[in-house]
Amino acid sequence: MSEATRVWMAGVRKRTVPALILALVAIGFPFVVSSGILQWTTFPMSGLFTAVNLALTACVGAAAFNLLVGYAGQLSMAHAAMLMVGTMAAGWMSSRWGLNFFAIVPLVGVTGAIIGAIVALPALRLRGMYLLLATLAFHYIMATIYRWFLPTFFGFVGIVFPPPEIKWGGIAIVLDSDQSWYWVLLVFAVLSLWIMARYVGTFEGRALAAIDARDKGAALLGVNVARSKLIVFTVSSAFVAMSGAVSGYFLGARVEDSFPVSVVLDYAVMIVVGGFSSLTGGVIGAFFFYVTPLVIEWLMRTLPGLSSIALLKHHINEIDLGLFGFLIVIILVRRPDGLAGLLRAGRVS
Amino acid sequence: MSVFLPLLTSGIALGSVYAAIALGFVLVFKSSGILNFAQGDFVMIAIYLAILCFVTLRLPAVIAILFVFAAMGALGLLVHYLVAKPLIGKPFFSLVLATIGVGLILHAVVIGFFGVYEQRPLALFTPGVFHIGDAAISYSDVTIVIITFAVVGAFAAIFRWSSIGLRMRAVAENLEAAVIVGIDTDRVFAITWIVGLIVSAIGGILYANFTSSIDLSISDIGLAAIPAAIIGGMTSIPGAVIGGLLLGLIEQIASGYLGAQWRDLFSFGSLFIVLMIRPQGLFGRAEIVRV
Repeated sequence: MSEATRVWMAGVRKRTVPALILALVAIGFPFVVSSGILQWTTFPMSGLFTAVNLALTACVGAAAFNLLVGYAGQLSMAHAAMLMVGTMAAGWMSSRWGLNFFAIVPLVGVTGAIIGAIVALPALRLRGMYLLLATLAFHYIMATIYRWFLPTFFGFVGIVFPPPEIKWGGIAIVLDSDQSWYWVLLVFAVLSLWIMARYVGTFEGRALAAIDARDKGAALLGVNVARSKLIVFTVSSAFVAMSGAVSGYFLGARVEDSFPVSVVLDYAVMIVVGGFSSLTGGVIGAFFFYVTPLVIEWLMRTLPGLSSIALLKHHINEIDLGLFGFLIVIILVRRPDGLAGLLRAGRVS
Repeated sequence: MSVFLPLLTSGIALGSVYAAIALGFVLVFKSSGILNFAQGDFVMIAIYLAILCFVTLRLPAVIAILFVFAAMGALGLLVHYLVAKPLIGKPFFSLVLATIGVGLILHAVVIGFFGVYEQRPLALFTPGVFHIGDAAISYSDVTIVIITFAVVGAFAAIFRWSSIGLRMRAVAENLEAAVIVGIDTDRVFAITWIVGLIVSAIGGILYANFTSSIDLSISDIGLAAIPAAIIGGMTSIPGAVIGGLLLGLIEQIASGYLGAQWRDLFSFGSLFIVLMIRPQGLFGRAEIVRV
């Protein structure tokens, strides 16, 4: 057994109980929701299903973002750009090559890895603010390409993704409902997070922490800084691109203005609120980002004190936005490791 | 000439807007080291306040302008004391992400007060065009350029000759040395935020006269002005102005001849090229220590 595997196994044993609970919740969730036991709460269950599915796709992207920002300390804004790469690649493979969803997702991962590596080559020369600005430039350049690509190859309706089919023997399941998607997205998220967690546990992953602390020091410790940065860019880009392809299929269509620069800010909200020092942070952040608006809306409707305030009812959308903004500022000022750090602190004490 | 000359003047007009917004951006960055991603939202707040004062309330121009400036100054103070000051000494990406949070709050405030729909235009300047040869040039473009140059000139004078200008330059030059000679750096930071936001507000109000529609997407101008700051060099005040003018010209000429959809390719493409070849920009210093 290699050292990395042993470390990983020790981690697994320590976390067996929470992991089991999490697995139970994940498996039980669709049954509880669709059984209607929770009807009395008047919580918008169908909305919750969609939100959870969106969070399952986004958590892969957010965790991959955290590989770059949290582990390696490379602040990148190329996030939405890689989602666009994933969307364009998936659209092309689906409509031109007629490939199946399950073949497309890994192929998009490969495409994302290649593009990520190409982007990383010039980006490796830059640090801190300059890297941030260069990746912002990459976002706008990719957005220009995307806005040219869509009408040129797909017309003005944008890319339409057919609902994927699973054929096993005589049974054919079409993924066209939140319920059926849930299982596919769950498998996608768990597999991706597992691979990323393995990557973080290897020598390569721990080299990232050294680079984050001080890249010259990391080089002295025998870390090939350029190579490690290249790998983390590649891995992160691959997962973000896959998450873009999967969310394209889940949403059914992507149009010209599906990826404004505010998408990058959304992911920034996720990793700051969740905590940028861990993969878990990305996952918590993604769920928080998609489920909170529903909870707020539900609270406004049901809590007797709140539901009577007309002002709140009129400004429901801004409340989410403002809340995320406040949370970011407060977390950065008070608790830089986010909700994941809060969880960890609770576990330690 | 009938195509090129109007593109040139509108390019200089847009460039002046970028210059003012980039100047506000650079002022804040120079003193506090904060890369202000909320710049677009600050500009948007200023524009919406200007619409409220000029168009909705029909206040006299002087009072309206003073009100917008006072509000932006107060906002600058708030941001300094609630966000920027507690974050002093935190890692660079905390500073950046915090401004993203501030931007979201401002966005929410604007939606809350003004709604998501398109606003009435803010046409403060004389409409119409005049002709040079067969080229039509709009009065409003010329007015924007004149106002920007007056404003930039005034701020340059403040920096060069006033006591607070001297202190701001001292803090930006060398923070420790400024503390040693007895400059109240906290106060200088606060004033920088105020001045920075007022300059950005002027850029925003001018831009509201330049563009045809005003809605929430107007906050994109904040990010669009970033290449101006980089081309000029993040730490240079004349650089921000020249970078702004260059960026405006590049964008208008590229979109005039090739189509507006290629605008970002040219502006952010030039940002990328500058970062690769000369990261300190045209006028910046070779090493930015604060990062």
